[in-house]
Amino acid sequence: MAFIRFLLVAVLLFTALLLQLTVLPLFNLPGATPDLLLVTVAAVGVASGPVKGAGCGFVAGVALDLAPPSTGILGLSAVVLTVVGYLAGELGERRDRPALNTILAVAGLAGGAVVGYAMIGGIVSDPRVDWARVPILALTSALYAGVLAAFVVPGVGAMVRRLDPPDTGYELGRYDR
Amino acid sequence: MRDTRRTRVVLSVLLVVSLTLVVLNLRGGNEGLRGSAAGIFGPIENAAGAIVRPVSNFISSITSLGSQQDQIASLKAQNDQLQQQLEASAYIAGRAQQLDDLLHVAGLGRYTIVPAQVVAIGPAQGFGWTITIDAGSRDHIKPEMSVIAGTGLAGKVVSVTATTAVVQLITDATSTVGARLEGSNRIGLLNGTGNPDSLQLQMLDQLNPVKVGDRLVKALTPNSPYVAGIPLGVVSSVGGAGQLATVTPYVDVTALDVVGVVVAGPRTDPRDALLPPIPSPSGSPSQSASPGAGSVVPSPSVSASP
Repeated sequence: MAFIRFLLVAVLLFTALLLQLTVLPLFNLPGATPDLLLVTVAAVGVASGPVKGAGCGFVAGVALDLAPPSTGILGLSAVVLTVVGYLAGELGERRDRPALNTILAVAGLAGGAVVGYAMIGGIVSDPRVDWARVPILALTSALYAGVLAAFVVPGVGAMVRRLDPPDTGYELGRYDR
Repeated sequence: MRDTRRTRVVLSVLLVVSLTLVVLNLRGGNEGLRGSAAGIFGPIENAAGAIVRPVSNFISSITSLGSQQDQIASLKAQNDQLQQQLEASAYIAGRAQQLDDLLHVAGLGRYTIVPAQVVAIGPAQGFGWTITIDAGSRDHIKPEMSVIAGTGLAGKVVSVTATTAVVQLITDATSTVGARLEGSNRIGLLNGTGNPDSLQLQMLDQLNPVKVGDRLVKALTPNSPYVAGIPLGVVSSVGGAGQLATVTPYVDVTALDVVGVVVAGPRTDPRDALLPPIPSPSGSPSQSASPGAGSVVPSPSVSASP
């Protein structure tokens, strides 16, 4: 069962990554590219808790940093998405939240992720970071993530919960091994 | 048995009349009678036919309902197929146009290009401008080769696998291209800003300021990964002392589809031959352009000679 759960999350992340790099840019939306990978990580976090969310975010981030056409700093997306997965997991712990709050929270995480990319990039003095573009990128990224979250979070949640009941304590750190 | 007699009378009378008609007919004498009968029966038959025909059509349509449904289904399928073909042909025409543009530029500049399709685009929130194309070392593509799209420079190859290559676009903030002003030998550095529609030009020569509308091609510089002569962009605004300027690239990096990798550059610098013809003067850009810039409309026969 554990293997099937792992496989499901891996397939979900791989699909999200491929779609984000090949299909979503074709819509040519203004500002940011819709961050399906981030929304998927957040959805897994909401459904499975902070530890699995963080692990899933790390794997997704490394994959994004390695997959062509990425030429950025290896590990940058991994840091950001790990935090996103963790925070989404914390959010998922509170069971009584309304659905709209989850969507708004994922949108907020997407906006925050752009700021996170810029901050970490700035710290390691990546010449490509352009703070003038950060507000519009963060805003559009949050907007697109909110729209995606309305579909992805319930969908991924249903799939993950079916195979992967929420953390019961002794399963902590499964992705960390 | 009373009726037998009467029946015989009636029968014999009718037979006599009928035979009389036959005899008359043989002699050709009852045309008038037939004509008047036709005058009466004809319209009635017509009216009856008009009533019956829709009914019979309805009956036959009920019996052939199944086959009509089949026909509708097959026509629908055919229609869908034709619609798909139509859409595909529009897409194919678009690709043909892009390949045409590539061939045009490659032909004018005597570049050898390998056409490739853009398969993946890096997310904008990563701040970089990179794409993946579906041609790699198997297609003789190596890092540092120039990539053109349509009428201008798109970027350079930064890494290669057997079947794919990653291209850094000129809009990437770490991209720097040596640029030369059209019709002169003045050169500058064209840097990406991270914005898809503006590049920053820094002229090395501080004496002659650039003007809005000036056009730029890749300069012939030693040790540069880019081949010389590829059109870069048009100066859209000038700031400061005239040596810093904003340039609009010829290539729309947000709408790349088919690109060409220059696998072998020209033996000689094509100079300004690849720039598109200047459109007929209208509007402010041509007004603000210097008369000198207007007089150097590229003519391939002149500018192709080194």
